[in-house]
Amino acid sequence: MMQHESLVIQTTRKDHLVAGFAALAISIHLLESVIPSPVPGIKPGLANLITLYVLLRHGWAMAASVSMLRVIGGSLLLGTFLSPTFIMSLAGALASLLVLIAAYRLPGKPLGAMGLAILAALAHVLAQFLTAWALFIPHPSLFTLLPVLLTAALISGTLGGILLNKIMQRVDTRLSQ
Amino acid sequence: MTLLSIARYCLFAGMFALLVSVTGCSKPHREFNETVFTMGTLVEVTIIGEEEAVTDKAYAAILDDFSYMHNTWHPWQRNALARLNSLLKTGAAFSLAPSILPLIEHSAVLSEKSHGLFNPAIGGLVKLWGFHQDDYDAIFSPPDEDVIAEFLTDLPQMSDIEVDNLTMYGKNANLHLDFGGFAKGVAVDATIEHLREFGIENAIINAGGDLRAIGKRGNRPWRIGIRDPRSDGVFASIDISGDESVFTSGDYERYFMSQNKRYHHIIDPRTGYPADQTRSVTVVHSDAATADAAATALFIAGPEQWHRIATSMGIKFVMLIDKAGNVHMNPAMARRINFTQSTPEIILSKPL
Amino acid sequence: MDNAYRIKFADKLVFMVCACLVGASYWHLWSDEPAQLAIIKGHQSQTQVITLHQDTTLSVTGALGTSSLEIKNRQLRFTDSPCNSKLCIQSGWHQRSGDIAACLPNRVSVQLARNDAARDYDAINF
Repeated sequence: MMQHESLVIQTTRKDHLVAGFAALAISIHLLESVIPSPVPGIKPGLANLITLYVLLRHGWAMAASVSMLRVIGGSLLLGTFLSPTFIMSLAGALASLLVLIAAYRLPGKPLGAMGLAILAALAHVLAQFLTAWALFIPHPSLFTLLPVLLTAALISGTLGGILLNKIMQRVDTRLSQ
Repeated sequence: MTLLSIARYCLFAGMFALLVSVTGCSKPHREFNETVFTMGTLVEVTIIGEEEAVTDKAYAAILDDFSYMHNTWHPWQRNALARLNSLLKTGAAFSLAPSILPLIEHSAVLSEKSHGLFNPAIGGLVKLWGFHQDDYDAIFSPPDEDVIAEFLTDLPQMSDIEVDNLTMYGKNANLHLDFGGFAKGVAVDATIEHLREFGIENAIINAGGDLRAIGKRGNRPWRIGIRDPRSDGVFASIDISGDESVFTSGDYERYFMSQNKRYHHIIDPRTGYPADQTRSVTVVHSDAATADAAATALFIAGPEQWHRIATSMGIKFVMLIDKAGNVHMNPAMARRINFTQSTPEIILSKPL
Repeated sequence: MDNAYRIKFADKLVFMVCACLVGASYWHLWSDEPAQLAIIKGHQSQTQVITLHQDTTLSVTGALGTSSLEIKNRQLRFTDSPCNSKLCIQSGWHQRSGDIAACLPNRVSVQLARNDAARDYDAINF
């Protein structure tokens, strides 16, 4: 009788967390894709909130993983992998990630969830817009859409940040029980 | 951090943003700008510094003007001009047509000053070439040279029209008045005057590229771009203020190709063929009618004779681009004109 | 880990600054001028410029097939297109200078513009 050696990948708790968060983020991403938008592909960055949460509680490395998994996984599920939508999504995620990490590490950590969420949302939308402009629709008049997109980002960032504050408080309360 | 205080901050920020954006707009130099398809071309009307009530009324009035003039002066439609033309050919006397007499008198004066180069009486020749049709898809071909030669033996002139008190008659059976190279200028003059009657002092009327501007644009002169005859870009610009017209005649406006040769609509009355020494002529002058006629006459005069004709017509600013692409102008024009890219070599004439 | 999940001073500052920037973006980027012509780009870089002042319908060849446009009352819209989503048709009538209507899958775009060359000149003589 042959002994089959099974290959087991050792997973850590961290991996489980990342997987869980990524799944959550992808779900939100899928839901967002249903929302109509003036420029196809540009969405209010709701999934950014997950990235922000992970950043605040578990550090930037995990946040980066979750973010990238969300972009790639989401696009595979939606069938938009390597399409223009994917590229814009990637640009937005990268930009908001970088801005988040930079803003979070400011000396003294002056910014709370709301400020960070606003910056992340604006960076996300700006990056998506610039990508669309540079690669797909290089008409200067695309800029007429920009104020609307920025407004949506500002609002979703503000509300998302406030919401995140409440969620964090709840989670803290639960964890300390 | 209560909801109320958040709302307060949002309101404050929003008002601040609104303030920033609103400071950009100012009332004093309100610009009215409309473009309409009339007189067979796109006419753009710009009025500065007037209220909506005034501009709307004025604009409606000049739209009516344009319709009326287009229908009345169209050289080949069934209208008063057509009747006049058929009566002129007969040689019999008939009573004056008041809507057309001013055109006849004004163009007769200009025709003489242009030494006959501007000649609206050669409508028959224009018809031979086919440029009387409005249909741009029509098939064109050059007319027979014998037919042209015959037309030239008894070339109709404006002086062939006799006006005697209340009647007029024609002295040449080939007379056919075609005010194509002149009507736009007259129309622009008439509508500018009409705008003035409404109290408007700063405006441009641009009829398919030929324009007259009065006043200025806010606190600076009107900046007019001049298009390159051979490409689509603006290659020169000129500032005008006070009351000036800028008219250009070109070989690219209406033409057809036949056996690789370009035949355009500006016919030289001396040869019966399109004038072929010039690509374009730009004229700056006070009234549009004279500018229109002069642009046509100077185009025909060509690089050799434009100076002589400009002098006799009283034109002070001329730029002529000959068929080789050389740029000719008089010193006063050279001082006014700005070239957008590289300055070409200019052949300066004697002062006008 | 930060325990005080409250809105801090810096958060409010960020909000105000961003709100102003967003407001300013409206002022800078929005012009209310009506368009006078349409610059239509089909595939293989064919471009046509057509005036909005005459009501008409026209077809443009794109990568997937033919898109149909309608011009009426100085406005323009897509009436038909070989794409799947028909977003171009749904975007409706366009009339502002600077607006673009596009069928991305068919690679057809229409940009509305005004006559004067980028506001550098008050009028063009030709």
